[in-house]
Formats: sequence, C-alpha cells, structure tokens
Amino acid sequence: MMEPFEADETRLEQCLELFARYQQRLYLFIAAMLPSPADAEEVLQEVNIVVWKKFEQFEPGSDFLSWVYRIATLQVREYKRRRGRETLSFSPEMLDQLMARALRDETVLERRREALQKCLEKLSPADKQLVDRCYAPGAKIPEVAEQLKRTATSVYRSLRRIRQILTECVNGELAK
Amino acid sequence: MLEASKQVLLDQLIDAYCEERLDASQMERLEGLLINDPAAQSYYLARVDLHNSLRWRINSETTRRALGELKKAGVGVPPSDQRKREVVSLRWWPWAAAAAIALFVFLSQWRNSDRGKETIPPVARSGHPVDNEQKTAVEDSLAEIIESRGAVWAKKPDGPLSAGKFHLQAGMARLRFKNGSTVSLRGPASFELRDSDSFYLHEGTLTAFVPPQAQGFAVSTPSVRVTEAGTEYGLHRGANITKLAVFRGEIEAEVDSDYLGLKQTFRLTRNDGMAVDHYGAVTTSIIGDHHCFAGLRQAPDLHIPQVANGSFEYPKTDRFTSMAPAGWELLAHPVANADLMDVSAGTILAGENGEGVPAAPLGRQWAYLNARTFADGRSVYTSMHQSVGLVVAGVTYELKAMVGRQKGLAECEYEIGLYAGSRSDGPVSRLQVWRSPALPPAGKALPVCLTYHSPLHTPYRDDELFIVIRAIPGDKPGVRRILIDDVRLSILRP
Repeated sequence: MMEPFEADETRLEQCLELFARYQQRLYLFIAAMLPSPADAEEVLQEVNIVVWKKFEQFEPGSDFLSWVYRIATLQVREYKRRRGRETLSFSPEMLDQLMARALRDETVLERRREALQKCLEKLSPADKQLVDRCYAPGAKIPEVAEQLKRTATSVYRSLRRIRQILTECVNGELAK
Repeated sequence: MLEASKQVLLDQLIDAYCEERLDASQMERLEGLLINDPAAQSYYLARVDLHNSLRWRINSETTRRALGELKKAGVGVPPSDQRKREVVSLRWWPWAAAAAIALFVFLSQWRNSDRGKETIPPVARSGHPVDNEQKTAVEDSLAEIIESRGAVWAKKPDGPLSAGKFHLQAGMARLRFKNGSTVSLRGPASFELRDSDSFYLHEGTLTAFVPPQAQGFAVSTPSVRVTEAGTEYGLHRGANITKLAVFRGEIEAEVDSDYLGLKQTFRLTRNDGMAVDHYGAVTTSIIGDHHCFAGLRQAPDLHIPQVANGSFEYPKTDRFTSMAPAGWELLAHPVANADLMDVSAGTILAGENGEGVPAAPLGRQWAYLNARTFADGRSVYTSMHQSVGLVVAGVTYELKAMVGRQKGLAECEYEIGLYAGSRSDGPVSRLQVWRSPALPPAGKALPVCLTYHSPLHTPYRDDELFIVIRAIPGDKPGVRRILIDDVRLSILRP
C-alpha cells in the first residue's frame, strides 16, 4: 500500500515514476485501439498531458493502470470524434470491452513482452536484421525492399512469417 | 476457446493492421469478430501487442544508441555516472519520465523531419576589413530600439544595443536588427543579444517579424529555437512553460529538452501553436494563443509575400484526405459537376503506402489535385489558392514548388500562377500563369522555379496577391493527379 503523499515534491516524483513505469504499456494499449501509429503517438501525447494535469485527482494507492487506461479510452473516443472518418478505430462499446480485457490480460501480456525479448535473440541473424530494418524509426517497407532488391510483397510476407515464429516462441516460453 | 475459422479471419485482419493497410470496412469486420468475444479479444490483444512491442523496443534501442552517441560526443545529456546521479537524484526521474513521454514524440518527429528537413544556411556575412581598434560602438551594435512605450529598463541602454544581457522591467520595446528583423518585447522580460543573427529570450513575451532576406536569424529560449525567415510569430517563456504561436508564414521550431538532451523539430504554420513544459513534454495540437501576444505585434508588412502551409503538412493525414490543406482554399470546377464522387483534392501521405507516391520533398505529405474526364466528354478538375499578401509593383517574384506524379496514374497537366484579387472575390485577374513547367515521370518529383516581373505601373498594385494551382483534365477518360509540395514565394532582391 502506498503511503499518502506528504509533500508536493514527493507527489511529483511519484507521478513521474508512474509515468516512466507505465509509458510503454500505455502506448501498447492505445496502439491496440488505433491502427495508425501516427494516431497512437498523438493520442499518447494527449493522454500524457491529461494524466499530468489530472494527477491531483489520482487516488494514491489505487490502480494507476486502470486510471490511465480509462483516460486513454476516453481520449481515443474524443480523438476519433475530432478527426471524424479520417481516423480508424473501434466503436465506444468495443473500446470499453477492449479496455476491460486488456486490464484482465495485463499480467499475461507483460509476461509475453518479457518472453519476446528472449525470442528475438533466438531469431536467425537474417530475420533479426530484417526486423531491425523494418521496425526502425522512419522505416518504410517499400524502401527497405528496394534496398534489399526484393519486392515489398515479399518483405511483408517475411515479416508475417517472423511474427508467427515469434508468437509461437512466446507461447512456448509461457507454457514452460 | 477461439474457433479455428474465426482465427483465420482474425489473422488476415491483424496482418492488415500490422501492415498499416486496414481500411474502414476491414475495421468493421474486425470489430464484428471481436465484439462480445473475450477469447477473440485476448487473441487480438496478444498479436497486436507483439507487433507494437517490436516497434517500441527497436525504437527504444535506436534512441538509446542515439543518446549514447550524443553522450560520446559530449552533447548535453543527463549525468550518467553514479556519483552525479546521486547528487542530482531529484532530476533523474523527471528526465526518465520526460524521456519516456518524449520518446514517441521524438521518434515520430524524427521520422518526419529526417527526410526533407530544410536546413537554412546561415547568411555569409561579408567581412569588413576593419581593424579592431577602429571599431566604433555603432559597428559593434547588433540592434536598435525603434519604438518604446512606457519601457522601464533595469539598466537603460545607452544608444544601440551591443552583445550582452538586458532586462526590460515593464512596458514595451521594439528592436530592429541589421537584417531587418524586428523583435517586440513586453516587460518583464530578460533577453540576451549574442550576435547579429541570434536573439535569446530568458524570460518574458515577444513577437518577432523575420523578413525573407533574414535567413539564419534565430530566436531562442532555453527550450525552443525558431529559425525560419519570412515569418511572424510570438514566443512566451514563463517559469513552467514556453508557448509559441505562428501569425504568418511557416516556421521550423527546434525543441531541446534539458532532460532528454535530444532535439525534436516541428513545423508549424499560420494559427498553429505549441507548448513545451519544463520537463520537455511537447503539445503541438493547440491553436496559437494570439491573446497572449496582443498589443505586441506590429502592423504586418503585407507587401512581403508569406505562404502558409507551403509544405502541406496540415492537416496531418495517415493516408490521404480530401480536406483542404490549412491556409489553402480548394475548389472543384465546374461547380455543377463538383460531386465528391467525381473529383477530389487534399493531402496525401508520401511514400510508404505502396501507392506509388514519391517521397515528399518537405515533411511527410503532399497536396494533391485531381482532374477527371468522363467517357461522355464532361470533365471536372480541382484547384487550390492562397492569398499571400499584396501585389507589389516593379519587383521580381520568384515562385518555387515541387511537383510529383504518383505511379500508376496518367501524366497530369497543371497550371501554376499568380493572380490579383480581393479577399471577398478571391483570385480574379491573372498576372502570370505557367502551364506544366515541369512534368515529372511516374513515381518521381521535379522542382519548378518561376519568375514574374511585376510592371512598375501595374493596375493591380496593392490588390491581394494569390498563388493558384489547378489540375487540367486530359483528353481521354480517366483520373489524373498532380502532387505539389514545398511552395515558396519571395521577392528577389537586386
């Protein structure tokens, strides 16, 4: 159980610590609701600002993840409302269901993320290199394909195969 | 337990999600498969989590490597050795959080800015072979005070301002630099003059007008640096926040987080705003806070042409949108045929969609204009225009742009021109129009550089000046599309 905050400075530190600890999970949750990485990144920024501003309302000792996921879900709805048809996302009902499911599955998802690191190390050097190139900041599959003298379709196919290998490896790690 | 047939359908849609080619109908199908099905939801979350975790991990590794390189190069990054870390432990968490918060902002901006990032070379100043001893105070001066209203200075400047720190306690003061830039300050404000090309605001509020010829002139605060000529903007540096608002033109703002130690570059155009808090978290999706700068702006010189959103980065789109680029007006012609089903225009994302759109020369997206010819001979086309100031007589205008062609679409003729007109009527009188000055090959882009000599006795003097671009329908049935980016208009100095 967390102690009540005694001073503003402590509270600030707590907030920042929670921010740092949950930032990746928050991004992954938002990205599951918004297929476009650009949208997900923009909403992540907005959620960070809202969390920052509303941190006073956060009940110390309560579940930070549920609180930020709730904010993120509302922010995704608001973002979609603002951007209209330009932004692809789920209906409000679906978003609520996904939030509830993500919170329930959080422990498993976190274990899968840890296992993923091990599985990445097991990839063949060629596959690892392809993943590094295709998931690097600013990477564009057609450009990567051109550099590799391959077609974009063949690179997409390889990535699908690699994701399948990783999924199976992660499942195997969790079953151990 | 998830049914095998449902899993196959889900896999197809999840692959489309990972490849960023999910469309609205597929999204609906995905929702249909997920709704009220906890097993399908868990499966979906696990699969997309893996894909997004790869993105997050590799991007984090890349950022860590970049930080490592910066540390090696001695760029100001947070102290890394344990002893220093203990001493500044209170600063460490803000850095970690700011790094985390800014990570994706940084990565996305990095993605956007590494390609087509414009670097403005500093103006090569002609060296005056003046002996140091012969220098006078005037030659050392960097700026002069051209207007002052109720100004109270901590130490009143005695004549033109030379390099040094200044504190305006109250009132307003307007400074003019040798390159023609003006900076208007409202007290209390602390600032520093370093050389003729840079103004540093420690605290306070200012508006800056930087004419097109003042290339390389930078206005900075501890967290934001603005370097773009042909612009007017406001900057406020408070104890906890730095605010930036663009009044005219399009700026490049470099945000330097004290804690992250890395720079992010943002492009903002007319009426856009940005805020940076003291932990380096950036909010760009705000409307420029013009009220904050009320009373500081000088009457704008509308004879200096300034194009807003010439990079067509606004509105930001994931693929393409038929919304007008900010600052531009889109029209479909003839209006009777202007059905959205028939013709469209707007902005389109460069490169990555496998749609054959070439890389955008400036930023991440192009503007596009479509023209369409029907089998019965009817044709429709789109145009866009923007008012960029007033017509000046007896000068030479230089109009630059990049034009591109999408693979798989027929070559599209287009017109680009300068018109005179008014705010109420729009562009009415044609000054000069060029037809297809460059026709790019499929999947490529070409630059266009055009000049127009405005007659000394033009009847259009002081009318509104417009840039107009339109797509021209082809002879044969089909859709044609022209891509446009990086539109600039300036007056050539003799």
